[in-house]
Amino acid sequence: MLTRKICMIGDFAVGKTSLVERYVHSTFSEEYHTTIGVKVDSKLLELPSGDRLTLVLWDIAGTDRLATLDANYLQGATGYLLVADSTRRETLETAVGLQQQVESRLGPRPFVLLTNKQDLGEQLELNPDALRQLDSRGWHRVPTSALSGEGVEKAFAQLGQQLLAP
Amino acid sequence: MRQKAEKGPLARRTPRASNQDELEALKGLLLGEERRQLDQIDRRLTDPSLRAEDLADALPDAVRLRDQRDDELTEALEAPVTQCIDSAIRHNPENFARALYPVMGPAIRQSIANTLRGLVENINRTLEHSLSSRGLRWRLEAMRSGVPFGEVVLRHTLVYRVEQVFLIQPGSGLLMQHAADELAVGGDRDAISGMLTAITQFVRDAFAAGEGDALENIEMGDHTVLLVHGPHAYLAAVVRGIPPHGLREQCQSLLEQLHVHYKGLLEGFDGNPERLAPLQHRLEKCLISQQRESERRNRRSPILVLLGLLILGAFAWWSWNQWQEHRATQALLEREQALVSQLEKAPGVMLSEVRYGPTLRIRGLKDPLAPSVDPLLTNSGLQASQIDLQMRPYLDLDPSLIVERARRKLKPPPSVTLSLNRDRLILRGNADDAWVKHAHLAAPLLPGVNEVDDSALVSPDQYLLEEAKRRLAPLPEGVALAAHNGRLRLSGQAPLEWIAGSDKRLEGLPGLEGVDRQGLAPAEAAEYESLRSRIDQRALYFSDSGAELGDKQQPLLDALARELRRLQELGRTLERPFHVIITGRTDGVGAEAYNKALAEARARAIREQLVSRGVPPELLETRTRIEERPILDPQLRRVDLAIAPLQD
Ligand SMILES: Nc1nc2c(ncn2[C@@H]2O[C@H](COP(=O)(O)OP(=O)(O)O)[C@@H](O)[C@H]2O)c(=O)[nH]1
Ligand SMILES: [Mg+2]
Repeated sequence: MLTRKICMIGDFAVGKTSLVERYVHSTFSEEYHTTIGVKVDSKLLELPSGDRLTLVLWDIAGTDRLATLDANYLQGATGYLLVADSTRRETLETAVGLQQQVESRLGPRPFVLLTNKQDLGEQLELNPDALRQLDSRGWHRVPTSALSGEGVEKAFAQLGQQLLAP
Repeated sequence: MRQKAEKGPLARRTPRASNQDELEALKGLLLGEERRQLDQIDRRLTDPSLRAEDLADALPDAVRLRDQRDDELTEALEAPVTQCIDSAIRHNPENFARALYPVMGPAIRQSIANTLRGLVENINRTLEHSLSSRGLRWRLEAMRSGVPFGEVVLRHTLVYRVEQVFLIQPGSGLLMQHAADELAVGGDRDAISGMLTAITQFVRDAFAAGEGDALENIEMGDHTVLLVHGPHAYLAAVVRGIPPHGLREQCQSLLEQLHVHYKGLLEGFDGNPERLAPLQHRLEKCLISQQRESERRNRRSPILVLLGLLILGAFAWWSWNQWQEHRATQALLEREQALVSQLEKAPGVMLSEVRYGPTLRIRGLKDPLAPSVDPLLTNSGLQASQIDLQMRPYLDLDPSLIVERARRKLKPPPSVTLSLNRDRLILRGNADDAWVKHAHLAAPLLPGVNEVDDSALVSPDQYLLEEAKRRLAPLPEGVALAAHNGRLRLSGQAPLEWIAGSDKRLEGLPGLEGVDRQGLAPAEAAEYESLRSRIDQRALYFSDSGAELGDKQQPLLDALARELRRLQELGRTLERPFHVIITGRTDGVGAEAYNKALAEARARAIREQLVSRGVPPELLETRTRIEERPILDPQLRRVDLAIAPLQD
């Protein structure tokens, strides 16, 4: 069975930590975040195909958007989740910029774009045209809500599938 | 072979023949046998089938030789052989099953035996420690922390134990291989590897350590994590207890060996720990432990200890019971003795036989006139079934019984009391002559009485007086008593309550014809009068033409309030209701209207002061008094008080 290091990438307060929390039953307390700035969790992912994969999720605590590009943080990552907050237009721009920088560091790696906080339906702010443009670039996009759980499993499974694809 | 090969160049130095065939022929002639051998060697070197044949001859010896020299061959063969077996099993499992069959049985048996042995050792250790005081302490600890007792024991008896070994990829923090002993606490190994890596990275960055510097030790509670770093992998050994000096070196050399022998696997690690499975048993070699020296030496058989404790327990139980029983009989005996001593003291009772035991046997005599002994029996604390008491009647000459018998026989009037002095019956009080005569005749016939003494008898009035004094005691001071022809006269002062209660006390006094109380006044009335006249004379002075009292008047107000409260109390007892008239006055200066208002204000001020000191307001009535002619007299700046009885 394979083990893969996955990084959570995105602007501050888009819901990276909340998504991980929603997805895994955490071994370490939230305190680690504030003390050493990183929290690592793991989750066994079972795909519909029957394949199994251990995801080791690295979530960084920085409120600085560049902090997520810390060299140690990205080192050895095989894929990443790019998170944007659907109620804050600028977080999508940040996500696009971060994606370019990560790719220049790691080379092409599988990733999924999560447009989070879908539960705040009436406040959604992301430009549908912009999203369509990203789709046309071949980006995998999953609307999520860490609050309701919507799309969370799906997003991780989507990434898992890409990681196993040859 | 070597020698023959060296002859090659020599041969080439022979004179050159004109033609090749000739030369060949010559060679055949000159070299003959050697040449044939050369050809043969040549063929063996170039022909693969012949080479394989050669290798086949040498291979077993070569493998044996290499194996004796070092482990290289084993390690080199490990992966391919594993793969071979793997593939063979996959393709033809039946063959393997058949081949393994004779091996599996014993292997399984041995594994079970090993497990059982471990279990038995654990039980022994647990038992051994269960029975000591320290064991109890550990048991408590186990209960508090929820950790199994066996593990708590291990924790305390171990010097150290390497519980887990992680082999981790430095950059990604991915777990490459892991080994844990059966007692290690689980947890998310992948997350732990990641966190360990994040922590090492954090420490390195935070302290800007130089190249090659890295976190080497993490300590928390009784755990230490030893970190040993290598280029393609680092090792984290989780140790419970105090890791010995050699442990780090041991880990270091293990990591080096891994880097030497599995360089390719480590370098090319792609997140698939199964590829590194061959490293597992090497990591497992690090899972070592050492027990505390003393724990091993001091090994008493737990069964013996248990037996000893059982015997001790049984003995303690027996002694306890004995003691309890002893205490119970002791208590019973004490109660029985107490009862007997009370019976012995009781008048009119003679004990002839006493036997202590589970039931108290008492035989004796009891005067029928003596008070019943039943109360003694019920208060003895013994149950009726524990007392076997039989009494026969007899005449007792105890003084109290002689007097009792005399009372029954002589039937004295209520005004007479009887008592005994030796054998003389004494008559006290008042009696008519006929009865006195009868007493003189009859009394000496009674057992224990020889004489009758009537010198203490008195006249009826005297008796009345003495008896009344006795009944009314203590007489209040100032009360006088007199008796005349059966009438009692009370005079003087006494509290109302006492006066009211005196009737009852005199009730049934023999020979009393009537009570005369004319001369008796309630003491409260006198106090009432004296208080009243004192208050009537009270006046409160104002220092200027205002309605404020001077400071010196305050104690006066306190006294006045106290007096008024007492007077009200007395008034209530005596049923003499009254009013207090507070009269405000002024000097003659000023207009009449002004003076009237001032006088009113003064009276009201005093009223309020008194009310605030607990005098009931309904008692207080304010008035004013204005001089008809203006008199310039500061003495008139005042308030007068007067008690006015209410007629209802
Ligand atoms: N309503 C809503 N709030 C969310 C969602 N995800 C995160 N949040 C909130 O957004 C804030 C930031 O989340 P956090 O996970 O700390 O963001 P991070 O900085 O990206 O790790 C927190 O107050 C979360 O409760 C979501 O899906 N819906
Ligand atoms: Mg966060």
